[in-house]
Amino acid sequence: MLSTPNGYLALVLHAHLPFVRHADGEHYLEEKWFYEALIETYIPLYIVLSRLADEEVPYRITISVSPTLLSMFRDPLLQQRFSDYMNNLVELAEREVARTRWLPAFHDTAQMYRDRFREARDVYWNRLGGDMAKGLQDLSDSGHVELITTAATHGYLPLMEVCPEAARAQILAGIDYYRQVFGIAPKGFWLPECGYSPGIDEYLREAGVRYFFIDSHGILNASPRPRYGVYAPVYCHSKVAAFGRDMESSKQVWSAQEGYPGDYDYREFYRDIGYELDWESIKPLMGNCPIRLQTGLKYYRVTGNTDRKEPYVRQWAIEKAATHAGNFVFNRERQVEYLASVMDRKPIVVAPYDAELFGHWWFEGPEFLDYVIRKIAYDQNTIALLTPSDYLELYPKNQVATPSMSSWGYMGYSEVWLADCNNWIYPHLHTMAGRMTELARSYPHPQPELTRRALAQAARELLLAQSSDWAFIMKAGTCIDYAKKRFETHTAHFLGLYDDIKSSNIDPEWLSELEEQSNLFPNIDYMVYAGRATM
Amino acid sequence: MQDSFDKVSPIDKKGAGTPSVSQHEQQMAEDARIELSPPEVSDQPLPHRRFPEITILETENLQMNPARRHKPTVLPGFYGATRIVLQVRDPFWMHAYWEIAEDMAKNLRRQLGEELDRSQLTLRVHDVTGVTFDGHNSVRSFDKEVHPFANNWYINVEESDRSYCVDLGLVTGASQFYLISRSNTVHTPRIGPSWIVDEEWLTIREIEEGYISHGLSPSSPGISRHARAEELLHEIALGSGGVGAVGSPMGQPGEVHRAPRGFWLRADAELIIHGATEAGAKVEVCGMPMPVRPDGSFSVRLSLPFGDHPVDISATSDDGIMHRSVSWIVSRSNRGNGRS
Repeated sequence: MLSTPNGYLALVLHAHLPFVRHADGEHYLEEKWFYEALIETYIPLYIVLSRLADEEVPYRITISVSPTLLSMFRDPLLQQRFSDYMNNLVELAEREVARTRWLPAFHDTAQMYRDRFREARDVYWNRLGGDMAKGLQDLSDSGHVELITTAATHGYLPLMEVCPEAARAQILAGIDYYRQVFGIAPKGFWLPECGYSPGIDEYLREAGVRYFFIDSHGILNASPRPRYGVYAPVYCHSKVAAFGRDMESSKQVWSAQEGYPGDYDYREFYRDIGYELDWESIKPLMGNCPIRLQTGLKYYRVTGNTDRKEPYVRQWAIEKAATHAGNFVFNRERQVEYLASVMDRKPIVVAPYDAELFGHWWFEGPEFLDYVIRKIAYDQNTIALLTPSDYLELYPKNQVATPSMSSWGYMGYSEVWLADCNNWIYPHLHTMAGRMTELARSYPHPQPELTRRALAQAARELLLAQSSDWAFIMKAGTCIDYAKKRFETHTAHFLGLYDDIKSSNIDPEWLSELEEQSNLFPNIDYMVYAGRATM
Repeated sequence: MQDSFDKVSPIDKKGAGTPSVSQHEQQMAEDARIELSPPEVSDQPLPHRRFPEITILETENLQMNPARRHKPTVLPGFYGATRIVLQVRDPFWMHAYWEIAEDMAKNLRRQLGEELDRSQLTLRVHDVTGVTFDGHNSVRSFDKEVHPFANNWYINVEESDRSYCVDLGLVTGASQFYLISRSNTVHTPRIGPSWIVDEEWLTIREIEEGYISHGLSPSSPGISRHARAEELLHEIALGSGGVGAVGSPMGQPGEVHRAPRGFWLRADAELIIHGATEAGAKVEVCGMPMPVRPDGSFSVRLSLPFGDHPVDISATSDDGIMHRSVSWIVSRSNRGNGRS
């Protein structure tokens, strides 16, 4: 970087999956979400970002990792199952290389998968020791990545207004777990679904958080009206900074119509050999699920608005990723030049994405990110990458305003999580939250140990029932039965534990079973629910 | 008693055409009606609705995790506390859910007697912006009649950025309002930018000193960008194929035969080459090293497209001295037009 930039770009990747570990069997296809996320997104992102660090390319990026995903990264059972999954995948790719021997249009792609899967396996075991959390730690230690976290189980906080102790507990328990894993508290916080309502920032302050993210209209509709719109943070009255999402950069990457990922040269997501090969070939990868699922081996490109897909050409796709990265950087330069000309400070453009966009949904996403970072580092001087805490160091003085309630869901508020198909969960959630607070205040010094364990497990079951994912899935209409079942199971467990604790009749065997099934947050302090909170 | 339920049909009268009365709610109301047998109704003067019973019934065939012995796997329909909870959905819609416990129902029957049967379950929506609500001092209020079996309702309000509180009650034939439960107070978000442009600035270091004001011009580059709540996030339909797209990744053009009715046939061919040699030997098929099983056997599947394909199979003993090989031509071609 020869001269100082005119403004800044903050790339933010939000990494989350609900807790889908099922100790009671290997037939849960939802566990496959986790394996796919590792092999398609998290390991490739680690490879790209650590290579950039090794080559001393200057960059700064923010990664939010949810406590549920972090728990799964660190879980030995899932690590072992993932290892089996990956071995099956490598074997399948090796068989595919042989099978496509006389199909030149697919043979190169088959070899690409084989090589990528082998590399992923090698990196996962030999560099990370099977623990992706170590990969995040490495990236953080390199000085290039600012790690932050989110609410304990990704609970949607605006719909906890009536039980503020539960919203506070989601935040504090999430940060507590992050601290246990990484040894320090995060500077920033990702609000699940960007769901904000005034007052939530008070709990962030209590946890020592300096900033969070919010959707554009949360800032634009803040009061008083923010002078710089979303291009500078505002301080809430709690002194926690809110950074607003930039719609322009979001749209370019996200939108299926206007965004890059729909380009005809990119890999087509839905054409997977899992649906197309004979059953015996793919069976090992399906676990015990008697249905066809994706394998991750896909041989076609988007091609166009047609069913007749053409074969994927890796070379073209990579060239297109470079072109799109150039376009993305060019647009940010123009955007920043304009903003800098009308602002009396350097603007920050905040571009947050779900991490799984890169690699899982958009296969070439990690390569795109690689090019974006390199181009910003070497091809221009207008913008620089930074993290929100870097920006607060540069500009500690910011306007004070109260952001508006908002989310990044459909229509920008809470209608995804409060719809006809899922509003039945709230009477349960709010009752449970009230009961958990009642329990925590009634048992500050529980005796015997069994009671303490039951209280801790009750907190885990409540947190798990609160995952925003269940309501989202019910609304989205895919695997609804699973989401309902998960919600009902954790609710039933909580209610059972509550009754047992109140009647001093705890069943040790059942408790142990629940602890084994939902083993996240081993050191959770249920007393977090005893704290006073208002929203 | 039963008659009074049948007579009241606010959904038909008031709810037509508004999203507040959903198909789902109507269905729930219908199901609730079916479940209440007349003797129960006479014991319970006020309609109860269990929360998610219908949802639960739909999923009862799913196996819960092997919980145990006496723990319920079906969620309770009641929690036994009279309560109404109000939540914000967006600037113009709120959602309320409630439960009327049995003791409250009996109490109302005692107080109202026969009048209960002529009463209408009602949500009285109070705009309490800027006031500490005492039940009488709201800025304005309006009534929303709700179905006697309903346990939740969406409430449409015309103004955003206001505080609301909802009283659940009964409006008697004499237009008197009997309060059953009062909700929490919520504030709906503002739609559009704030009209307040007085700026206040703060540095982290100034926290101890208090806030400082800053007299800068309110013209701003950012606010011209209109707040658009767009759903970009979950718009992930990359590409257009869809799971249902039919076709083999190995298929040749024209291999999928569709008839006008949508009946279809997909066919493709693979070749399995298998053999055996001495344990420990190295085997290559078409130049590709093959894994040899401990018993010396090996096999490989190859997709078999149209045309002639040379196949060379070779084995070399583990000491590298002995060598054997075979060579074939395998071909695939069309016979007749095979179409219909």
